[in-house]
Amino acid sequence: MIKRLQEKVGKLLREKKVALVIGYEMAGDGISTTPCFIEREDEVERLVWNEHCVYNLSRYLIETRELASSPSPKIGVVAKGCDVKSIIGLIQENQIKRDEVVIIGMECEGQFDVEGERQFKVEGLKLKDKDKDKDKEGKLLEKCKACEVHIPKVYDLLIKDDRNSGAPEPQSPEVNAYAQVEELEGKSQEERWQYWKKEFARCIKCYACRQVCPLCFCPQCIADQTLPQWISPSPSLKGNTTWNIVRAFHLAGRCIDCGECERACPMKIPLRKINKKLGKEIKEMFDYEAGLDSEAKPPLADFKLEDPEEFIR
Amino acid sequence: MTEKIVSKEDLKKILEGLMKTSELLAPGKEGDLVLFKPVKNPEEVFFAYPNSLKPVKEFFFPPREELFKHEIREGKVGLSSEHQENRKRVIWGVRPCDAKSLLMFDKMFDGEYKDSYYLEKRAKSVLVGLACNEPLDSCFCLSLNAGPHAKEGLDVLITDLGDDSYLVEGITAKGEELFQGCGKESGEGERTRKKELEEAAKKKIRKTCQPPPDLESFFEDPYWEKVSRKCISCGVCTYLCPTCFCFDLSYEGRDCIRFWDSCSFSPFTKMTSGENPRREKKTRYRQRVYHKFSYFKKNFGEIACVGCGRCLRECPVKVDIVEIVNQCSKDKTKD
Ligand code: SF4
Ligand code: SF4
Ligand code: SF4
Repeated sequence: MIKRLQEKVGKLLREKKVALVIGYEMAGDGISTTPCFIEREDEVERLVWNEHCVYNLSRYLIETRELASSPSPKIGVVAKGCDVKSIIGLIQENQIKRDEVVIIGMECEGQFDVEGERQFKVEGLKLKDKDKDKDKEGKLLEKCKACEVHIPKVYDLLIKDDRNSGAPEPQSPEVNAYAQVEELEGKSQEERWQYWKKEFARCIKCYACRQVCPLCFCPQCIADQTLPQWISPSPSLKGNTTWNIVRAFHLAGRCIDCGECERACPMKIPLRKINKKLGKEIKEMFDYEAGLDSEAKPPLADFKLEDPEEFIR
Repeated sequence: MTEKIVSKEDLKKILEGLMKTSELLAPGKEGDLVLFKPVKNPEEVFFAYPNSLKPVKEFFFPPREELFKHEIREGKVGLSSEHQENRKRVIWGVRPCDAKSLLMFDKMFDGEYKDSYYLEKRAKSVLVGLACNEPLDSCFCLSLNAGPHAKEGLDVLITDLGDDSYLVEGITAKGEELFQGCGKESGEGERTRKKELEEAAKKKIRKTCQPPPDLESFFEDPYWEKVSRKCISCGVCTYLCPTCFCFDLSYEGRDCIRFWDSCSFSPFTKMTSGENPRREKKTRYRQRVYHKFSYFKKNFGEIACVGCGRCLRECPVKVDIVEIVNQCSKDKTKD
């Protein structure tokens, strides 16, 4: 897979179809990967693909979009099925044009949770599971267990998994994607509040959740405004709660559940649960899921004449 | 300086005693995270951990601190400040790198300007160190004048010798006092064991930090743009760094609050006019590197990094400051 990826990217660069390709390369620890930016054909050997390619690279499209022009060169981006959803989101919201990106879709069997890595930090254990994909299931990220887009829905080039050649498309396992949300929904309001209070109290206001999010592209975030200061900038339960709620609401119907915020959060606040809850509400109320159709209008940016609510008419 | 051997039981008794007489903070598990917190039960104190997620700086330079309140009474503005608790505070299980970082904080907050908020907390605290026998791949304290068994900045250092026995080395009177009347004298064998552990720990540290002596000459190099490209400008590396001390002030109602700020954030240098000299990401990342490896050194004589490796481990996109600093001179000659 890696060889084919490198060849394809090399070709794109050689033919000047792209100015830049955003992909993954090995990190210094020899296990993780890290985002990389390939501009020259002789750099393509840096590109890798494995189950540590967790990052959603579409986050970098906004920063690099000025390099693209139509019809070419464009920006190439290595994307998993879930990452493609946020590319669709960015197109939908006029942040990039479809013909300015070359989506290099990757067939993906799932990415590993950093759990192992975290254990390594907590217990001082060494990570040696590089090749041991025996109990792979156990190491998969939560989101990957319920994945329905092992093969991206939209792409310009598809890099298929050699191990699956000829085999039918991997089916998503029978996992209820909303199980964690439903568990919380079953609790009383007081219990839920206690739960979130404890989680939000840990927030250090590092804004990694916002910075890593492909759809948090506001030139000025409400959290950074000082006149007026809507959200207290210091970490306190009040300010943290406001911040976390504002973040989630602004992503309602837009969040494509790549889970990057939760992964990036150093304090391990279960941000995905909040996003999923809002996603679930949107699905039930508007029969809409984010990141599936670049022509569709996000429900919170649209209205219908037959809307039952008075205020919107 | 006294040395003694104490058992696990002794340590537990000491912890129990300290809980009664002082405010006791020690690392414990919170979910999957290791964080320092008030000790409620000595059984929960965590001994085998590489390092806490957040450094101990939070107890001297809190993420959020009320400096004063202002009140308007009979047309006059007055200031009031809540008095801090002066009870003795023992911070237990501090790793040598974090202890060293506090000496850098001293240069900043106990130098030309005396920060009374900081100094009060510093004066009432005793630092009980825990030597590292199992440093991580991401640790590189050795190349920064520190080490897994370094004593600098600590009041007492505990080394786990295995077999439930610990070597306690008193460093200051404050530290020795805590272990008065317990344990037994250390013998030759135990001292040798400690030496062996120290050497073994040092051998495990392979990462080294070697900034080029002429770092200043790379300031305008396109290198910074290249290496900062993947950085997402969050506050993780700065907030979790034991030597980063930047802050901002804001009013929340009548309270003047001091809170952590980060040079990674774009608004960090935004002025009232709207001008922002560090709007570009590369200038912000470069600032982080230069503040640590050049400006702090110029101002205070040493590099503002203790090699704890937190920024490497916790960066959401694996930006490696050591690699970046080490490579910068090589990269220049290459291009
Ligand atoms: S990443 Fe986590 S700690 Fe940082 S601001 Fe977001 S919720 Fe808070
Ligand atoms: S180096 Fe990493 S942790 Fe630091 S600001 Fe950049 S992305 Fe955040
Ligand atoms: S720069 Fe990184 S390694 Fe150095 S002291 Fe700060 S967090 Fe630790």
